[in-house]
Amino acid sequence: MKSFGFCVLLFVAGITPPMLAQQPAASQPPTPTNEFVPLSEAAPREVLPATPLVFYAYGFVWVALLGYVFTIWRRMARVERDLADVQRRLKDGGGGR
Amino acid sequence: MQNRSILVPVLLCAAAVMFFRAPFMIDAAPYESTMGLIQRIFYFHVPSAMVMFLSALVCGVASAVYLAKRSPHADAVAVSAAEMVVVFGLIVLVTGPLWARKAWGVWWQWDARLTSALVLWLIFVSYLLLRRFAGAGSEMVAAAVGVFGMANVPFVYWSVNVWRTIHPNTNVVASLIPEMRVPLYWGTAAFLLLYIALLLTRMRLEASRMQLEAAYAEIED
Repeated sequence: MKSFGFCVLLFVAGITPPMLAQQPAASQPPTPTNEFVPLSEAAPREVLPATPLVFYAYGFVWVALLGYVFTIWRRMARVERDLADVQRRLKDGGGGR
Repeated sequence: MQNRSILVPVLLCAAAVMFFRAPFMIDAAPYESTMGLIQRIFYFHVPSAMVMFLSALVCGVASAVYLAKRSPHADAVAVSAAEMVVVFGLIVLVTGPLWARKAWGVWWQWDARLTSALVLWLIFVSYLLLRRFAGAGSEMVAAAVGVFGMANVPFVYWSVNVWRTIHPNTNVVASLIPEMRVPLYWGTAAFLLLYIALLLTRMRLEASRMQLEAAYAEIED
């Protein structure tokens, strides 16, 4: 009798928590759709065209590289002009910066 | 010296031919299934990033040599390479957000890859600022910054595999089909040739500048 009571207790303990867990939560009715959003008002990324972005990316690569080449050329021209000037002054025996 | 003066135009011509051919190869490559046209930025974005990493490594090694031997030639290589990191890094940091805007819906995400790449770029910007404004003796401090910047490269590269990020990981390149892989490697080779030509030209500028400083010193003596 004592073991029967223990088995009943085990059964109840084993079955009750899963049953309780399976109880459906107090469900709320789904919110009705009040309006349809047209595609033109969707999130910007959905309608963002890729072509200008690709164009800007490739354009920037060329602008950056050509700009950098231009700065090297300009700096080189300035340094070589200064160098020629200083070497001429050294040849003339002059001083001062 | 004569070889170097011929080498730079040859490299530039080869790079120009490759860059002229590149758009046709990129156009022939298939669209990526989820990103479509915007994924084409990949063919210039990734080569720029590779050249940025390479340049950071060149700067770091040259800086280490300068710290060990005080070689002016190593210093010229380091400062030239640091400038290249900033230029190619700027290309990476501009083309990346243009791609992300369409692919992810945002210009920027503070994730591991993007943030670490920005930090790497800022380290080399600080290198150049040190060289420009820190005055005499800044070469030593800048060289230490260059070595630190080089040490940062593996973290940036592996960040996409180690941390959670929305940036594509390093397996993407290995998994490319030949129609996508060939334009990528072609673009990488073109960027590499251009990089070598620019580095040699920039080193020549640095050599001229050192010569000018020596000439000024001679006048003052």
